[in-house]
Amino acid sequence: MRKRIISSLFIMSLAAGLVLTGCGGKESGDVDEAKADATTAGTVPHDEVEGEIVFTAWGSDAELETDREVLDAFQKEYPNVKVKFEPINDDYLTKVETMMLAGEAPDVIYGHPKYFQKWASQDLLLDMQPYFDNNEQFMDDSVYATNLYDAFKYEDKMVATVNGADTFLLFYNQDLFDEAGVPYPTEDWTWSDFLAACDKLTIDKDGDGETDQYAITAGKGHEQIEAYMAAFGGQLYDDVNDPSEVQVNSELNQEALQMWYDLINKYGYAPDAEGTEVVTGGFDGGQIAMDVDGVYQCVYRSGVDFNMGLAALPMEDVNSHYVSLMAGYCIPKDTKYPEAAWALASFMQEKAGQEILASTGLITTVDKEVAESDAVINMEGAPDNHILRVTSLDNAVNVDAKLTNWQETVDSVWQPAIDKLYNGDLTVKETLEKIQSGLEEMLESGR
Amino acid sequence: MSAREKKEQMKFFLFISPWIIGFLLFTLVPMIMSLYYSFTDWDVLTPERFVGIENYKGLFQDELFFQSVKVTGIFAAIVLPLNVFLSLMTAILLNMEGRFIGLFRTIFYLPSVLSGVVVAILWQWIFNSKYGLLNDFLGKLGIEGPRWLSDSQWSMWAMVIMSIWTIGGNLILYLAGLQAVPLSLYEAARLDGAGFWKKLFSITLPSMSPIILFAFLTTMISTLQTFTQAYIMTDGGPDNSTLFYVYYVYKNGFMYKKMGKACAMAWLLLIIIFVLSVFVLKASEKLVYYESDEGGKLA
Amino acid sequence: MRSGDRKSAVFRYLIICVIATVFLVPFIWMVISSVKDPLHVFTRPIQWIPDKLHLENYVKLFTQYHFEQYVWNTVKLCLLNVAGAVVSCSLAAYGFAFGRYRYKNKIFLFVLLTMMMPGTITFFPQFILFAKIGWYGTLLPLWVPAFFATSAYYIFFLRQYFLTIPNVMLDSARLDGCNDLKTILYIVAPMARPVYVVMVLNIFIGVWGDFFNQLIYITKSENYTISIGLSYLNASYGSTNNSTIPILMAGSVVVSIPALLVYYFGQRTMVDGYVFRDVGK
Repeated sequence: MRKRIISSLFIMSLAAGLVLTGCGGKESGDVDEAKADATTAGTVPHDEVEGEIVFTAWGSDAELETDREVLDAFQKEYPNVKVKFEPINDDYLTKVETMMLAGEAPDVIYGHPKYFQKWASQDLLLDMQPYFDNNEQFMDDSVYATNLYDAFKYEDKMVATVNGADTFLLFYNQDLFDEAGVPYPTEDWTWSDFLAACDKLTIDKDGDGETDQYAITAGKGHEQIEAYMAAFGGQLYDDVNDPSEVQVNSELNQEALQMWYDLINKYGYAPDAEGTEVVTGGFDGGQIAMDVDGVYQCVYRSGVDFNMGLAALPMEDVNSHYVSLMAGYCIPKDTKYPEAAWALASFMQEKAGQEILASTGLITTVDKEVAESDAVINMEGAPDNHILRVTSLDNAVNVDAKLTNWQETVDSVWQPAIDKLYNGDLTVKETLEKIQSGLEEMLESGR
Repeated sequence: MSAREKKEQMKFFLFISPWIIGFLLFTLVPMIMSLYYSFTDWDVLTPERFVGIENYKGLFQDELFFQSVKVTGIFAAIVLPLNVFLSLMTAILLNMEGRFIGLFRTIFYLPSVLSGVVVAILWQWIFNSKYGLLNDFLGKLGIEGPRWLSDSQWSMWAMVIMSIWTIGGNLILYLAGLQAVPLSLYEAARLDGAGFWKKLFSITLPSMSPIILFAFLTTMISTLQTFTQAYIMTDGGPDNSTLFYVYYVYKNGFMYKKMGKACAMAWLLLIIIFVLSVFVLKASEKLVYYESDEGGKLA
Repeated sequence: MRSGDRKSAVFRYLIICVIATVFLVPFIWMVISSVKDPLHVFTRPIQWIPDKLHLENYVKLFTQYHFEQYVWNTVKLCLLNVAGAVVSCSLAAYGFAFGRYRYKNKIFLFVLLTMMMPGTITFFPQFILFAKIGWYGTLLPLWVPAFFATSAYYIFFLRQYFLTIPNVMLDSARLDGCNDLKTILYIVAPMARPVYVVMVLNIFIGVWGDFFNQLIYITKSENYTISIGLSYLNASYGSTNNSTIPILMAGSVVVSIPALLVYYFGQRTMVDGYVFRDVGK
């Protein structure tokens, strides 16, 4: 009796185990794949589009507010689509991917091209090309900066709608410059002008040996460091949108990285990363005079109580350029409501949506007219020279490489090397050598 | 078997049926499944591919795997004795009557019942190198505190310090054990002229030994599975200096989608825990004194 | 009391005070920071006495961040887990204490062995299992298992206590016509009251502070628990002027209050609950 009980229990558990393991992964034909009918994709009249969709995005409270405004406008335009907005700030990528794993993917996902490249290579995303093809406006390059589209294509098919591209610029506190008697940055200021300004702007106000005001921030994030490299004229790859050669270990990049490192450690013009992160004021509180950051920071810097301007780091080399961070909206392949999802994703790129996204300074929109419009450039609390956010795009390179394993590359090669440099475990030269070989490896394995 | 015996047997199984179902569904089947997956290469989205012991072999070539074992091992080796023994000493200290003793016990116990998230978040800011509480205090002593969470040399120590704050977890257990020691033993010892230390080593510790063993084992098992601190405070860094084992399992499973590898790591952990537990149990045989063993020998 | 005793008592108190202060300081910092405005949380030197009490941080927790929703979700989970564990572990413990079966004790030994099982090993398959039956994204995976006696720890303790009941009591109850259920409710369970108190408190606090499980299974904002809510606040960013640190600290204080109350009042009962009757195998 006992033997029978035990053996039957055992067999049951084995059976259960096998059944469940056998169901690992998706079987094709299992789920109704949203294959868009090429001729009708995206052409359904707005009030006939129906569905209940989930939309995820990240952002500070101010950014999420902007998103909600867009959603309100969207709701009016598409009264029969219900949108559930799920903001995710903690580990966005992992969270969304886990949802996909469990078969509960959102319908519209905000993300960077690097996410889209990855997901598209895993065949997770809806092919949006038919939708784009049916949309004359989107393909009109007098209206939209279609040159940005390439980053959002996988195997020549669009896999996301585009909201815009934000360049990394130099925010500076005009009041602090005035107080220190330093002239504002100009288009052709040099690195020595820069260092001289920094020197005057780093102040120990009460003579206690502690710097109370710093000249500039120097975060460890790869975008900021790339901004420095770009300003010096260095590149990561030969063509960031179609990399075949790693060029990170160059003279120019060494100078750039050295400059970044020295700002913190040699000159003390910048607080170390922890100090920058921490709340006491920072740039927004008027305690740091300059900040290299994405221009999306305008969304809440419009409220600061000092005069602010936008400028660029010194660009002395003929190859000096800007870096830009792009974002857009993709749709998972097996969404239940592809038309409704497309309605939302495309609304973000349509004039109405773009106007709202740009109105707070959040995005330099892909819609050219909106991006340069008076309402945006001269919005309330806009920094001086706000137009730079648009003009810099002409000379900007994507901060992310168009590689399916770019996220992994940053996580496993770039960031650890920078961390080591930051801790003083590696010299600048060694860091770049390490990054060079790591990037080459990742490029190979990513193919 | 008589009809009545059969009925009794059925009743027994009925009563433990929730446990049986739970064990099968939530423990045995998942264990078998995870064993199976550990021999596959699986990213959940596509069907798995059987790869035999590749995952296990791969682990032994993965320097991050060794790093995670090292980090977790060193952490446990430092924290475990502190938790078990320092906590015991404090319990002995607090094993007295007094008006405010309840308050003190609560203070000591409090950090260990706070949500792990709260503790991690709180200490994340305490460890801030420029403005955090700890360096502020060290500064008052004239010491310049290190960049606790940004410096790979110090991050482990930060984890240890934080862990010490929560060693009160076993306090209640210890207090109960201390209070179960027959007072007659202490009386007899006092009459014999035994001092504090003699009493401690001859009476208190032996009587408490089963409890200490229990605390040691359970604390060991939970310490080896540290996760929250790594996730909230350091993401395993800087430079993987706080890459705890279970955090690395999470990374492999949910971030890199290497489910097979994650399952292999989980099974290795099980084996490690099992081996360590057996080792501890064997080693303690001489040390632990069970009341049922020797009645009347101590008097 | 002899003077020697008094001296050692004072000495003891002194050490205890020192330790208590050190332990309290982080907590005090947390409370103070929760009533400051963002710019004053991190100053050099630390401002121990805030110049202005920003109690609106607590208000914002509820108006801006729906903290009451998180608290409610967490309370729900705690209660369900407690109920599940109490019921299922009692049944199992009763079975192991009084059931009649030749290999009962061998099975019980096996149950004890499972105490050593690291949760990590069952985690991924459980995740897949729950995903397959559509429970991912709901709160179900976070409490349903509790109804299946998943804690060998409490089965063990309950059984120990149940075993101390003299057989005469059980026999007379049986003669009086009590079936098993009544026996459990009126005779057996009350004997193990201290264990139940411990169970309720520990499980409540355990679920209250659980992170890993909630992190994985909770996706919809209406299901957020306190752990997830706090983690979200910690990860949320914004300009320094809008920093969420004080609100985060306020949330942390709110989250800690139940733990505080529960343990201050419960610690007497808890001590009784753990007294071992028979620890040896």
